[in-house]
Amino acid sequence: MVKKADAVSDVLSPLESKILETLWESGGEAKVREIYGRIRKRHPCAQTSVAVTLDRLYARKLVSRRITTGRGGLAYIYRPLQSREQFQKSIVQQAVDRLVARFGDSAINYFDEKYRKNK
Amino acid sequence: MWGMADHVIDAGTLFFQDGTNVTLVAASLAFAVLLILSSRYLGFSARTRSILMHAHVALLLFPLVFFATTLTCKQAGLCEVGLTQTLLYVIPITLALGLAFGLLVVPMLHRWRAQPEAGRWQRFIHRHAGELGMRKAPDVFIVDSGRPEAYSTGGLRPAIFITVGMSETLSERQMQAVLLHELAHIREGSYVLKPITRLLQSVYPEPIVAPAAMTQEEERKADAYATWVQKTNVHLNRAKRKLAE
Repeated sequence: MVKKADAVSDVLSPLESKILETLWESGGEAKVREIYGRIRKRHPCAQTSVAVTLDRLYARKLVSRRITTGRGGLAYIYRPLQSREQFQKSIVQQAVDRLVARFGDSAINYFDEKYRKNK
Repeated sequence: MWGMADHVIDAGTLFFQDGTNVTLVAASLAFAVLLILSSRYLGFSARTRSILMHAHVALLLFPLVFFATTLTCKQAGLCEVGLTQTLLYVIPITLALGLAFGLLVVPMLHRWRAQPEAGRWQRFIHRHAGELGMRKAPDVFIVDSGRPEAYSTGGLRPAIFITVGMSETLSERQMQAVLLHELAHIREGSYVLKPITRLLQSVYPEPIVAPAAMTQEEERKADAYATWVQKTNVHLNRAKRKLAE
């Protein structure tokens, strides 16, 4: 049985999933420096890698961002676009949709049988 | 719409039936290849290499302008298509397009997707450009991207671009080192190379364009200026290390 947290790293790179997990755990918004500060304790990496990876997550529409001006100059504040549960649900949905598109009735019948058995 | 496409195809067939036209088009393309290769193998200065790369773009545009001018001339009955007469139109138009491309279009495209920075970085660049005796300080722009990057463009109004990712990754002194490095590129004239190189890199394989791009010597000169102003190379080296990670 795969743990729920591990399921996220199945579809994202290790750093991408670490960043998303950190954003979910922080309960909302965070800057690159804050995310980097939390990640590097468990996962040694460069701040630049965190910035580039967050930019990629933004391009993939997994996080949103807004610019803020502070003492250190301009910075983005990132926020996940989905909760962990919504994200996991969308992964399952995509996987099932792909199976149905590829195998049609066979996939639907299989899910039907499996669902009845478990019921 | 389809009628017009048919018309252009017919005109194209006629155009390429003329041996002189084929020779001129082939010669312009051959020169274009020769220019990009010569900028690769001969040790030209940054300014010369950027001129060669812009000439390369102009020569690639030549067949298109030549065909369009010939077509227009025939349609409007303006010129009884003597070759010399056509070329009198074509050559200045191509050169103007090449220049407009390098001096206006490329810088405008960069400015279009950026916001002017009117704060401390602009003041910083203004002060140092004055100390360097530059008549006009380059404008500083902020690019909405999380990737830490900085680059400069030339044209009629030189500009330095920094991304938000750069601003949030580097410390103040490291940012100053990078801005001084870019300012030195503008003073040396090597700034013109970066935008055209980036554009050609999106079309050609890397090995063809890379040797024509910024040389280590030009990068070293820009580094030396930043180090001279800051009286230390610590900030520049730290910034470089961060950006290379």
